[in-house]
Amino acid sequence: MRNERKIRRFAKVTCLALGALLIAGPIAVGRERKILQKKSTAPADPQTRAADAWIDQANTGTNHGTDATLQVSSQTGNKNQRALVEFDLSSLTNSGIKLATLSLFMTTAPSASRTYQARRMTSLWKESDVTWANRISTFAWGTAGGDNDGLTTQTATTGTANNTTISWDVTAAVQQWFGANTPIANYGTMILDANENNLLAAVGAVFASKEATTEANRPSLTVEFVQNVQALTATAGTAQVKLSWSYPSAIGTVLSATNGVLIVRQSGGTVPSTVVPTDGTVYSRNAGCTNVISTATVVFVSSSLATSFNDSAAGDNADCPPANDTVYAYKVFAKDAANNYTESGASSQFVPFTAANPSATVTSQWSTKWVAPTGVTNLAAPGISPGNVVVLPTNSNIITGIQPANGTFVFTPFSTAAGISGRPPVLDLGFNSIGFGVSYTADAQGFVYATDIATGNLLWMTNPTGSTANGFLGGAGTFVVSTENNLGLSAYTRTTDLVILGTNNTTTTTANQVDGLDGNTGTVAWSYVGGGTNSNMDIVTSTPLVDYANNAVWVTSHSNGGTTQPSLWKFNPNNTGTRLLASANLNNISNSASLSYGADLLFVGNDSGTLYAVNTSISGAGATAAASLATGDTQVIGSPLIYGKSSPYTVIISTATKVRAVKYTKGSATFTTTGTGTWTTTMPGTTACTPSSPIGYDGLSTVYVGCTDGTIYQLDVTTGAITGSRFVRNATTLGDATIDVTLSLLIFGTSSSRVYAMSFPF
Amino acid sequence: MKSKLHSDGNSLRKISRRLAAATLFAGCAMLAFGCGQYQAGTPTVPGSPAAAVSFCQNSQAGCAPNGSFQVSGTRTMNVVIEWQNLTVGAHSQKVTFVLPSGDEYQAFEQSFEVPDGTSGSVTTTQSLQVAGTWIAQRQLTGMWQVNFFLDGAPMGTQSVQLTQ
Repeated sequence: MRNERKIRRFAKVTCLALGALLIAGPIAVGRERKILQKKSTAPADPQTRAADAWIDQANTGTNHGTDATLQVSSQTGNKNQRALVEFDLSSLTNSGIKLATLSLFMTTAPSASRTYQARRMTSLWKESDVTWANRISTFAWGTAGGDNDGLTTQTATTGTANNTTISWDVTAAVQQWFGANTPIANYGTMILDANENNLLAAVGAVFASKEATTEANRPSLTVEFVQNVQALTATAGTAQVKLSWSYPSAIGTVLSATNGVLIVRQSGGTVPSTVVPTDGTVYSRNAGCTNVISTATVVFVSSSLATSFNDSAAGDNADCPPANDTVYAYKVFAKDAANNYTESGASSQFVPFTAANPSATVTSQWSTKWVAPTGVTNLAAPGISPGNVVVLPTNSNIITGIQPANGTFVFTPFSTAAGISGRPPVLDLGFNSIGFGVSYTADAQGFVYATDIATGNLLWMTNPTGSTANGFLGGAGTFVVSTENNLGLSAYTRTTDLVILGTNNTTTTTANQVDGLDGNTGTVAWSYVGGGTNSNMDIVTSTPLVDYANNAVWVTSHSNGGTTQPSLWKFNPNNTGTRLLASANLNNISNSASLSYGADLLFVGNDSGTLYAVNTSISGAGATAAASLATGDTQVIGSPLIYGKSSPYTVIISTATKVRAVKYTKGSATFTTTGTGTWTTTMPGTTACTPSSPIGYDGLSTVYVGCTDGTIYQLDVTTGAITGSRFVRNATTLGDATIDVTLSLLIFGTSSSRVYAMSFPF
Repeated sequence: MKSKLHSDGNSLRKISRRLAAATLFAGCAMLAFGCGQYQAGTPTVPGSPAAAVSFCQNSQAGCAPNGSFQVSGTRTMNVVIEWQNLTVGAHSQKVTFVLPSGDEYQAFEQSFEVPDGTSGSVTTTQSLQVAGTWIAQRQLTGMWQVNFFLDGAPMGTQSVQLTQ
């Protein structure tokens, strides 16, 4: 009954909206409705986007992914049936979700009316594999019958009439997938009988699946939403911040026209998640700017499709212009004529956000280029194709593609089985063997994904070890055929690219492994498993380093907290030949090594604060480092940064409280820590903040580290002097940065669930 | 009563809110005495879902609960939740780890089953790796908050100290 009322209301709103559309014209997009109808075949994407299937408790190993029906039933003796439905939401781009209704066409009704529940699913599943017992291949559900949130999103009664449409309100779930304060992965919806196991004979319904012949009968998801503004930019001046933005084109049926924006501002670098405008409420700025939403000040409201806001006394805000040398955060909510805002019913990370620092000193004026959401804390350096796409891995089981120029989506969130902590390598089209621009991502359940960076479509996925215990914490290394050829080398004999990963199974200190996967297919090319006749291998938490010049892959690992087993490994990347070429016992190492320009030396720091120089020509087990330096700090953080085309090299490292530059001359037994070009800079703070891995490149006179005080620092390469800084946000840890050399951008994640892009040098 | 809890969402939410408030108080009080285990929501309504939460450095049964962990000596921190008074069937638990700054570090969802013929008690473990992660690398120390949910409803919050 509730559904019928909603459907009637939708129809009413639609009629009104269509009338408004005719008057308002196509420019105002406002609240829109879009019906996502399943296609008969999934896109070139073997994952779950646009998938549906049903699972059968009486036949726990049978897959029904290609059936033309979805069956739901209840029967005693554990013979229940459930339907699983997932929609591809990528066409919704960047929106605040207002309403979402899942509809299934019931071709055969149960003999007696039943109540069916809709539940949000909580594990990744694959249409071609899924059964009552398993979600992907031989990987079992956490609970047989499909993992779900246990929370009935909504119920619907079936009635007993055939050929009727049954609908469920799944708004809350879609809002969570698409921009809640902590966006979560979209694994679809489960439909099940509310009272399973209670009928002696099966009573159930048959619904049309996406394989149904009649297209109109296939599952659909009707979504109402308000699109966010686009291309938000900020420019800081003296006691002034100028914002500008644009409005997107309609992608659905316009129900209520967009008429402007609501902008809130808060000092301290962030607008907290408690700042949520209420749909239907009219907001305004007042004298003294005491009108607030939670803790943020309402500074601008437009109902005339404004595309800019000059936050200054002489501009649009005589009431409370920004003060100099204060970092302000702004959130821009698009709104329609009915005052629906681009929130998803709760604070959404997807609402455009920017920060700026006005100042009387021109060099201190700055603003973010763009800010993007990551769901939860993300301190891994993003993957990048400079000027083309930034691939954001997240620990909230989502991969997102961002345009580095303006922060808009290249592809919308793509769900993985588990969190991603390592930087995903990105290989441009034409520079890899798979034939797509590709990113390789590895998650904490041991799944690896090859993603088309132009579309977000999955090219392949695999779990190379066959175990979810063998998760990945580091990223994937890639040995690329075209690079080998461009360097004029030929020792790499494989004909396709190789993706190399090390496992992070914390339940063992001996039996972790390194796998080489075919970059085109994900097939395991080779594995090295620790223990037995091989050396013991503790967890690998870093990204393998590819060494073309020496035809080797360098892997670092922990070593059970000691020096009795290896922590630096040199592997042969080819399919044949001795796999382990060399190893060294250097105590726990959490981060990747770095190579010198000539690949004659490798530098790596361990978790006890010691920096090593290693000749890349080492061979055999128990190899020793050429030189070591006890930094006196508790740990070396990140990978060393190497400057110089030949020995002596300058090595820049971060430690727990410092950034240091030391020199190393090949053949020497010691590092040089004094003299020209060497320096030690203690990080600012009463208790020095802990810096990220240093980032820079040979030829750049500055090096950058993010710190645990919410600030990114610019240091002079030759002196170590801090020559600039950008305070991002209070009480925030900044992650390892990526540099877009094409656009001169620093891009880094934070503990505040956002990635920032800033122009450099400061 | 159990069936009502599952058929009446409002009742469950009200109970959960009470449990959450009781949990917060209980958790803090226990921590003040250096104990990392507490009874999350001693049932105010007989038969309502409840949980006892402890933090351990391993996932073995009977692990010594702890309220403080030294980052450098911790490989994984495990949240052991002893659920009580659950209905038979499938359930979902969500555990979120919140940094001292108030920002969410990571969230985990897992399903589990209360088998037929059992008393409605199930023990689950949610691991948070420390060694080699950003926690260890970037010294993300201080008082963390751990929130836990059952079948979408908040069940409580517990604090745990991470030290250098």
